[in-house]
Amino acid sequence: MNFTPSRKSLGVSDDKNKYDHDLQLYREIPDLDINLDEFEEWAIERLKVLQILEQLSLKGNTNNYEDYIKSVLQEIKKEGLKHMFKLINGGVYKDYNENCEARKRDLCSHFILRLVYCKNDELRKWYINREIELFKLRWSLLSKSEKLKFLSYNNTNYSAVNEEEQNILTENMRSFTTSGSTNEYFKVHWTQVLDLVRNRKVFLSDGFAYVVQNDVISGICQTFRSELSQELIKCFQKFSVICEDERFGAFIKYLHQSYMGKNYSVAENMSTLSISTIDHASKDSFPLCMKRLHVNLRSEHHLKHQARQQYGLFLKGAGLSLEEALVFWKSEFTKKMDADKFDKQYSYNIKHNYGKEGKKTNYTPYSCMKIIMGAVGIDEYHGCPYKHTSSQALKQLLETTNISAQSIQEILNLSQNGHYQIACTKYFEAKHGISPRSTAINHPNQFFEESQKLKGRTNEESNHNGESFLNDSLVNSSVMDDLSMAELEESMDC
Amino acid sequence: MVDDQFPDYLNVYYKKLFPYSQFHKWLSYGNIKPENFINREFSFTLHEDIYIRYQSFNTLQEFEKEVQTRCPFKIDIGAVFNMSPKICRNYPQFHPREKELVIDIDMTDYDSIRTCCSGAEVCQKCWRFMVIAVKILERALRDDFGWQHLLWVFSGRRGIHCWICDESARKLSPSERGTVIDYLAVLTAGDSKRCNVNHPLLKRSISIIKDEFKQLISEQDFLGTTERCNKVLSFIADEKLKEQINLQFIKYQSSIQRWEALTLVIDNHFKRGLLNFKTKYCLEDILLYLAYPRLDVNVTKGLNHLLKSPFCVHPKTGKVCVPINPKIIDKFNPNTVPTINVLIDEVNEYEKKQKEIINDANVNTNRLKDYKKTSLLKSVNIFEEFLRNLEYTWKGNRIKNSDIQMEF
Repeated sequence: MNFTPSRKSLGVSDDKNKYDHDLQLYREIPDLDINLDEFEEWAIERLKVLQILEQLSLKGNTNNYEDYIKSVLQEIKKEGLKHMFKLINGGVYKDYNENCEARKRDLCSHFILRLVYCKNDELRKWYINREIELFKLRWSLLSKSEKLKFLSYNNTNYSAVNEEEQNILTENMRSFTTSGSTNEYFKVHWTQVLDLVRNRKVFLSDGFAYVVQNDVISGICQTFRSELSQELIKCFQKFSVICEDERFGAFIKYLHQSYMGKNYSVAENMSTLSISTIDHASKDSFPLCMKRLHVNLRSEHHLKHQARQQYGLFLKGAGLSLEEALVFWKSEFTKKMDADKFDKQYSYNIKHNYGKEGKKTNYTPYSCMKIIMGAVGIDEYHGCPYKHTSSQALKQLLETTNISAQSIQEILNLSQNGHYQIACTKYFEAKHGISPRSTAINHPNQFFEESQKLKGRTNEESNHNGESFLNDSLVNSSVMDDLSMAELEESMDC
Repeated sequence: MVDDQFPDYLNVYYKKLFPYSQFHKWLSYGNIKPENFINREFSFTLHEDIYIRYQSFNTLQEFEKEVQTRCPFKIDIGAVFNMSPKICRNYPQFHPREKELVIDIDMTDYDSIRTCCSGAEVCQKCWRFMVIAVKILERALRDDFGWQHLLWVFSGRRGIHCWICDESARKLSPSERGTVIDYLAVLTAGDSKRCNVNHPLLKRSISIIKDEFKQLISEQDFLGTTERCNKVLSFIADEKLKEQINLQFIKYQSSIQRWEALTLVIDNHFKRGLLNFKTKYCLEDILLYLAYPRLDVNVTKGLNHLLKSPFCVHPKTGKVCVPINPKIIDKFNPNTVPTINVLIDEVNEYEKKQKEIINDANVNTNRLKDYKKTSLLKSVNIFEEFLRNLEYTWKGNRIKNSDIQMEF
């Protein structure tokens, strides 16, 4: 795809070389014409596939890779992404042209999404990880001959192992590898797999490393990852020019925000948080990261900048209006400082977050990814509690949430193994007795909305009826305990 | 070694004995690319530790003349640079391009396990560590990496250098060099870090060690004192097993008997299926710890790292850094290496004899190279054999090159 106005004539004839394999490392930018509908459609298709991968790996069933592949394929089929389904499944194309078409879509959509996901470190990381997942999955579904073809097309210098070598290998590797003798080996010069050599993970003979299939892919992924990472940065350098293009500028600028369907920059109708409901909601419907910030704000009457950002934008996404936000923060902060100081130092920032000051951007609430990747200093309470607190502190925190000891242990295990979002999903389950509708928690506001949906009408009604009454009582008394809130709800129901 | 005489001796040595032409032949690698020699860095250590780097020479004669006038106590060989080190060393683009892959084994690294000597000393007993090291590395470098042109050189006092001269080895990047040495350096920090003893490299190495171990253990008396016994026992991560072995240690006195008892107990445990994942390979761990080569990793990693040249004379011992034939490494004795004094005596002796003969019959014998009159001859022969093998490769290259030219 040539984004500059000059148009080269379209070389259909050499399609054959460009699309000669189902799988590729996307080393060459395709030079062909596609129309804008295709441009958008293909990109969205790929994005859906990547989202499916993310959802399913977050769900944590990657332990059994075969099951994981099955569920990915199922999901892709269910979503009607037939091109990718066929391409991934490999070799089911009878029609050569149809196959070419699918490969072309794969190639183009990869490059379009590079544009979409080159803008910052967080997006780049997300994209690289998803592409690697996709790549690995597709590799694992290739036949041996397809794998060899891929290796030779991409100048990786891997070759097959002949029978004589195979015998020597089985002899030498018998006690060395843990898995059975069914291992497929590929042969490559040792300088291509330095890490494997360094750690004595491969058998070396006469300058060649004999690499088990699984290790082959890890080496190639390493290459793919570093190449893609560099390319994304290059892409970013040209981004401002490219997105000037009115045909697709807006599309590539904003497509990533639809990753999870929503970015919560504007609260949905159904999640209308107000001052009156915050305390109650923080106990039942806030994810742990926000609950903790809320508790800290109530007890310390202050939050540091990063914490204010994380919590304030979350509240905005949850439906707290600017006016209420100002009242809410002010009522807490002024317990430690005078109103004048608050107006001078803090209200600007709150208005800024709502897009009313400065460059007037309507800031989006932080996603889990952003929160997890963020830096959290000592004595700070923002960040992801599953990542940024010691397991001791996390345990204490969880013990305040009325969930079972068993759930707490499960959550602690998950967080220790780095499955922060799965830990959060588990917390949701423990809290609501039911899994979230989407497979995993990806965004604090998603946690909130799903929780609110489950609470259903009770909450909505309380929002409507009790608002004015609660408003007063909240501004005066900062903390409402569970009991009074429950009583209140009961009285509403009647 | 008498220090006062050393510079004079060295003067004679460089005039009469240093094998310049072979040396030049080696480092020009068939002169297919002249820069192999002319862009090579040499550095000299002169009298009173004056150190001059980035020397380079256009011809054999230039090199010979400079060595003879400077009479360096030590010559180091560095990398081949992209331009002449002598002229261009301060250019910003000046950088090293290639160098032999070198491995350095120094006996002082064995001080934590050898019991016969320490520091600079070396004897026949501790030389066995070197024998094991050379045997292990020979196999690994040749069989695993496929290199053929290995020049083993006695370092002049207590160690061995290996120069791997295959073209593919000379062109390795620093990270590739690092990989080779990390692959080979099984024993890393902490002395006893576990490794996968089932890797072919280790299996082979352990069997090489086993062949030598009976002798090594009696020479080194590895189990001779309680302290040494405890060191060995620390590799057994099972208290009960440890205790059983310790009982045997009390029963027997000599290292060999104790070792046999230890292997017996472990074998028994193994046969009865009593070894768990922690103790399964404790015997292998002990063997590796006590005998696997200890390598100076940094020397190998750096492309720009200098290493003492073969045929230097060690100023403290007077020993010549002679090439070693790895096939008969068992027979090499570091204490009978020719020293500069002996060599010069031999030359003088020979010439005295010749004079008498010449006086008798009027024959011109000056054609005979001086080293051939001495015990250095054997070492030069080893070097020449190495060169002959190397020569096949550049003959092949020349043919390839001329083929390429023919196409145009």
